[in-house]
Amino acid sequence: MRARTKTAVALAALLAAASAPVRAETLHRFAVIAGNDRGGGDTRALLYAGADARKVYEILTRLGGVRAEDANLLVDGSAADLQGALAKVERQAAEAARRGEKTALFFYYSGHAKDGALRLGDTRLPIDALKALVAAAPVDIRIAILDSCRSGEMTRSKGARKAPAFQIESESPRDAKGLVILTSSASDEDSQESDLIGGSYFSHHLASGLLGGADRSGDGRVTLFEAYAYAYDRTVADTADSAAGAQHPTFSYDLAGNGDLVLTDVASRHEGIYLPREAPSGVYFMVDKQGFVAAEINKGEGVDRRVALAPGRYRVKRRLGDRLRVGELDVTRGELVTLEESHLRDAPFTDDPVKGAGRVDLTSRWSLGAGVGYQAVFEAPDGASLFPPTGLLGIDLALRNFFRRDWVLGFDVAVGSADGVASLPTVTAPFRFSELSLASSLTVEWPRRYFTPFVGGRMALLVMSRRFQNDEFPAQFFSTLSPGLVGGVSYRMTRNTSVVARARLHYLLYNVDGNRSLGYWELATMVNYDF
Amino acid sequence: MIFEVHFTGSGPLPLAPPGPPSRAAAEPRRARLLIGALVMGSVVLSACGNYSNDDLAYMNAVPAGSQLVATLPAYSSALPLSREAELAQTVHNVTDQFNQMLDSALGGVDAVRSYEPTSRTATSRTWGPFASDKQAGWDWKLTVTHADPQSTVFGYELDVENTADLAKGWLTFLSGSFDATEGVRQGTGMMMMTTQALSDAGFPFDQGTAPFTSLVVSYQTLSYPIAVTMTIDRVADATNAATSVVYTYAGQADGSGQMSFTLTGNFIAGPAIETVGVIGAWLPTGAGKATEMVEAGDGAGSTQTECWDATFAATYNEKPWSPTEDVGAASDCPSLPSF
Repeated sequence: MRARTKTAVALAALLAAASAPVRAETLHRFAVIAGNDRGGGDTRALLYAGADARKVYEILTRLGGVRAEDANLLVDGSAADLQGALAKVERQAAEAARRGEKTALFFYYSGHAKDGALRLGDTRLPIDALKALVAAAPVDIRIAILDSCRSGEMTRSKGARKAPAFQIESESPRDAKGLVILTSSASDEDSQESDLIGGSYFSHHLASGLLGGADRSGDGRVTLFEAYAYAYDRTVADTADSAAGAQHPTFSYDLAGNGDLVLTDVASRHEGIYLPREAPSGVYFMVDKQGFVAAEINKGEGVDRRVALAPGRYRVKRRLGDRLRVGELDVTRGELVTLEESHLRDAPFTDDPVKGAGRVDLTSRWSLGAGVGYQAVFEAPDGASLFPPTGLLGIDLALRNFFRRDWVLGFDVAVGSADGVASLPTVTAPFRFSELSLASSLTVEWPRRYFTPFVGGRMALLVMSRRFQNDEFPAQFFSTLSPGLVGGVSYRMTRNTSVVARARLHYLLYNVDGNRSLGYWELATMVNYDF
Repeated sequence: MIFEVHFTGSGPLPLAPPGPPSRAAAEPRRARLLIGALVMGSVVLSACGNYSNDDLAYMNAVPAGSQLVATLPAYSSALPLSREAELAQTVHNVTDQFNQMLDSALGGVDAVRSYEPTSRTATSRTWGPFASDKQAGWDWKLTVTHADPQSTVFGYELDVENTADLAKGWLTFLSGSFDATEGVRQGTGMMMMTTQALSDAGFPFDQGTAPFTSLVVSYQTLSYPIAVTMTIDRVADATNAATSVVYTYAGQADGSGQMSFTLTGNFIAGPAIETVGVIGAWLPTGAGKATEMVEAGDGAGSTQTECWDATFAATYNEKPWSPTEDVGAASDCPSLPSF
């Protein structure tokens, strides 16, 4: 393994030296970037495929020369959506070609792949069909990156081998044309995700490389081969000791004319964190304020690294044998902040800013909501004579991804009050009705980019009471456990805030005058804040 | 008060028993059934309370003492008692008596309206049995029945039992009925209390109550004026030959009212015992007028008329058998509504 890694590094270095790269600005670049956590009923949902896609999208549009209008991001889209996005890019690329521009297509997919097909939710796109689509795209260069289990199947038919299985003819023309395919794992391997880094190993290291970690030549530009070599090296290293076994990315190419391709220009924006030559060697983790590992840079001795992070505050960590070195840096727009060793302080391993950050943010998180609702008992007017329609004020507390991903354990409390009239043949008695509801629910949700539908079950303890006008009758109360169903949809307004529309349907056993099965419905709207 | 009750708790609610599990069911199905049964069992067991519309109907059948009492404004204690008009004082006294009798009869049943029934059936609600605080060794219970769901008539019965002599069983203390209409306690009703059987069983009546043999109250609360008639049968004694006393009260929503009653006693000097009928009426302010007519005894056929103001001071008095007490003119009397 180590020998293979060294070979990959050597070849990448050779490539960088022998082949003057194609400059980013010489190409009109298009991108289709897709991520989908779900792969249908026979697969277990992934955690970070959507997040990986967003990260790659952000890097390509910020550093990769892909204009926003030429970039298509599909999170949790279907196979049809993906084909539609490719068709759209083909049209755009064809127009650019008619204008005489050189064009490139960057295709990235993170998600499930099984039985020779990409799994996009409940839809499938055969890998061969995808390959044909990409290959047929009217562009000069096509780069396809697949981060999925057994994605190596896509390269196998071209005779791809575990890296470094590529050769570049150094004397070939500089203008590259053709198809390049990178996959996160071999055809018989699983691609693995990590809660610690909050993403898949391969995409995480690819992104870190594109941010500057892979700039082995130090020229401020990360080429395709540099990025691949970096991602390969780090992915194999991180997964070597995993239970699933080492994961080996693959690479294949079919280039009519060869030449390396600049994927990101980390020097162009002149912002981020600069690791000077004199900085100690080692792996630097840069954690953003949400707790995600934005970049993981393996810095060698005596080399510098420019990490083109977006503006923001970052916690930086370097691990030593007996302690950590941690510190915080603010990256402002247009500023390249040099990380001095004096910025870091010693810290015990328990203060590791990376430890568990991904799990906290993506797999288990609390949210708090407040809102109003309306509840009414079926079997009116009899039911309403007992329990009148009532407005409710409620607070919801939810714990997501505790039992399973996208399962939400909820606790809610609501209070309400309304005027009612007990109308009987022999007496008509106005009263003031009050209700306290304490409940726990377990729901399953299907997060989309903005909308998240959910359904589930709920058990409520209802405590209802009423006081009669002028105290003509003694106050009455009733309490019961009420099982029910809940469903609704939330709409994400900001990263942490969403509004929820929710409906509930409950069974209500009333047993004072005799056993009677009643039911009630409830509509509510809430504002939720995710911690 | 003849009878006083205090509640000390409430009874359990009837719960539906869970059905037996199916032996033929397969294991997974049994597990699902078990879980379902546990959930439903929790739901059933957790359902409790006194929240009931039907209870309201039963409670509504029992009259509230406050609804039937005569409401004559009280005489101000700041004024010397001698200033109060003679017949105003008589009306006050009789009204107090009337209210005390009502309280005696309804005090027990009034209390039940503050508590949930101890047990429920499809046609009845029962409060008790409970131990009586005042009558040691006696239990009591109240049952309200509604035998015909189509009918608006409810019946009720307050029973007592000597815990030291259970063989005698429950004895009826008070019984009544109420024909309800919409609204709270609006309708017509009657109730009756007899003391003979209770006395024979050794029920410890309050002192002064024993001479009564029966008390019957009929009333209508459907519309104003509210009308209450109380008839008391009692044992005659040396100073009171009457065996039956009738009080008739009518009350308007604004607080004006009328009380008519018959008194027996030696009110006029002479050997005979007089029977006098009194009709007194008053305004919400307390100002009123009463007419007393001697029906039998000395001065039979004589009539006294007296009016008073809001302080109950006489403004007019015409007393044929004592002309020196006459004051004012008939025009000084307040204008009273008809009842």
